[in-house]
Amino acid sequence: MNTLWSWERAADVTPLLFDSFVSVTLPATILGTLLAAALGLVIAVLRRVAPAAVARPLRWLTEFIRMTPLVVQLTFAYFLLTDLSGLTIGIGVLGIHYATYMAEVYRAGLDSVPKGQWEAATALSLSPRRTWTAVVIPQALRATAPALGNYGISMFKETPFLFAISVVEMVTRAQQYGARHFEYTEAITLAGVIFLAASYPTSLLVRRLEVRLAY
Amino acid sequence: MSNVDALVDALPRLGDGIRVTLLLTGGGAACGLIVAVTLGLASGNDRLMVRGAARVFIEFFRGTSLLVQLFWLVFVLPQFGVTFEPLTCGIIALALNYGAYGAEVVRGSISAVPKGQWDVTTALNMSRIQRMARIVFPQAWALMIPSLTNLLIQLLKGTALATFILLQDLNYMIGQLQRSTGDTVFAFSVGLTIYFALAWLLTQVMHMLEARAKHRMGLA
Amino acid sequence: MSTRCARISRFTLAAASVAVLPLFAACGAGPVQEDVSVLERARQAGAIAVGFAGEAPYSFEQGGVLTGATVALHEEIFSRLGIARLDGVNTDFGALIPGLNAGRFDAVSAGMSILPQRCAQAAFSEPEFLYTTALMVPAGNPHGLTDMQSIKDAGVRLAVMTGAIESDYAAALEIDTIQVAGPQNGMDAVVTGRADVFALTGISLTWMANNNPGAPVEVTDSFVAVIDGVEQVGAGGTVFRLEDADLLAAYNAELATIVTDPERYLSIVGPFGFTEAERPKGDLTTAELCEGVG
Repeated sequence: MNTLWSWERAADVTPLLFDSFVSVTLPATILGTLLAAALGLVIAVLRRVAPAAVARPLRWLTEFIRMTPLVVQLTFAYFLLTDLSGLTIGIGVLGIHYATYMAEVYRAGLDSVPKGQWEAATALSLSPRRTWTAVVIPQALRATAPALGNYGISMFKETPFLFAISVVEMVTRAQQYGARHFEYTEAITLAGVIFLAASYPTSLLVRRLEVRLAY
Repeated sequence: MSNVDALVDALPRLGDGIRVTLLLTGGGAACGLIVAVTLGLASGNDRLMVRGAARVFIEFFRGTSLLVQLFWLVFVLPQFGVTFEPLTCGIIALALNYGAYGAEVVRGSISAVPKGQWDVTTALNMSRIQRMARIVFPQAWALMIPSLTNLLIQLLKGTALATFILLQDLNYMIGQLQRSTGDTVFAFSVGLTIYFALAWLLTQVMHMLEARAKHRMGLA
Repeated sequence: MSTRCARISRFTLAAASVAVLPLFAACGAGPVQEDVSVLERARQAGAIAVGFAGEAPYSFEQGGVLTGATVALHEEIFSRLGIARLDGVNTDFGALIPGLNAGRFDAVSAGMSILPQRCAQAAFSEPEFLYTTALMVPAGNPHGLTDMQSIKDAGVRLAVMTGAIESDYAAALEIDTIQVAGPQNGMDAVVTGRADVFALTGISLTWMANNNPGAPVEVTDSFVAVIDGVEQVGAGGTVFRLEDADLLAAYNAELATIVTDPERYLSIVGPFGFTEAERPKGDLTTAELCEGVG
């Protein structure tokens, strides 16, 4: 009869988990967050400056993606884009999905830039491009860093959904090990521990950052 | 067989899928609210032990992935002698995970209730339970609904994980529709639209609740 | 007055929490009663709880009714043992044996493969189904695949299910694989071209092909996988707890009368896609499989 916890099995599965963590989970999270940050900003800016014919549909599309499940979007893209690998699709969909969250954050950030800044830029005859890149965006971005951090952590915890599109990340690896050895306890618990160990300190850091930025 | 025919054919099964999704959402939300209120109240408690325990719970369920929690319930618990049906596992995982996030919302809303309200309860010699149940919480409730609405939508999205434990929810049915029509865009557009409609409906319900709560507080 | 109210409130809370406790007891699984044998208990109750994982065509729910090849077999056998009703308990495949040992149900009705690691944890009946592997390929079988070795030789990509034995075969032959979450996903992989072939038990693949008539796939003939010159003979059976020896013996006695009678066997499991090829011929015993034949 199996004991409740075997350190031997734990030691056995840990390298496998770390391997998936480093080769799949981390790249997916980092690249996905970068994509979300960039794309989210584009969406937010577009919604402000583009004509209504573009901005309105964009807003509906953003809402649609934001309010529907990531897992379903992943499966959709996976079925559709059969030439791309699961990981590529995963990063892309994660990026797009979280871009819709980030767009809201950027929107609030952009709205918070005082009217005076815009007026001063006009008074100084700055081109729209200069206005945006040198005046508005830097101010808007300051407050968005903590949100970006939080969503990054959120994305990190949603990487296991990539299992739905045949990407073997950390939790899948744990489940595979458990299925093969008929003992899931060590594998899944350790996967949870790794998540906690990575996300908790990061979230503390983000909270510290939030406090600092708010003074 | 045209897409529309296939869709009409699939309607009963889609209905079943929606039912499972709603069961998960409703069950998860109801239990999650209990978890959120319990942990939220506990994290504001005077005693350090209670506060600390609540904190640990909250950070634990927020810091680990929903899928890990789900797998733990489905694969690991049975090895300790406790086996739940897949649907129950789904509801518990959703409730614990989103309840932990909800706890922060509850705590924040309770501390946002004006201090004066608390003072009045002391002046009126109310017991602690009366104070919370009859004065403070109802006011906090009105404040916490918007944030809880966001969590509710996230919970709805989280129900799609049921596929991982082979529950036949809406997500599963979308896959079935895709297979029977062979038309990916059609099947998924229909499916995503249904999810969107559900999210919209839930938001409307929450707005109504908020309006009612505010009305009772004399705020709207 | 307020203190009296407080006391009542506290009392109500305490009473409520005590009243709620039995609910938790019901949630968890109770220990198996040692004094009455499970066979007797089932006979008295007229029902036996069986665990299933919703895997067609073994044991699954269709229209709210539990059905499938193993269910049909169990209904036949248990009714002869004086147990008229099967109460299905739906759980995940990986949680079947743990759930059995926890007392959540008294038998596993999923045609589980008899493997040495599993034999250590629970008692299998004599073989009920012989398992052969088959391949799902695009219609027309463009690569002309017939078995695992042919996949290796053709250098094509194979889809395997996470945790299934076919992934072990693939690993042994060092075939390029893609992991899929479930049988349907494997079929999707072949249909969309992400994989050239999907390997699973012949039964499961045939069932899927029949249930998805529009899908441009076909299932090759079943074969027995050969790894390192050793035939990977597989068989599945019903699972009981190690201590329920009398239930196991009674079950095996009835099972033998069915398995040795081709017509009767096929009349029970035939409707679910099982053929003479799956009927155990008596040359393979559970003891051998638990030792690790092949």
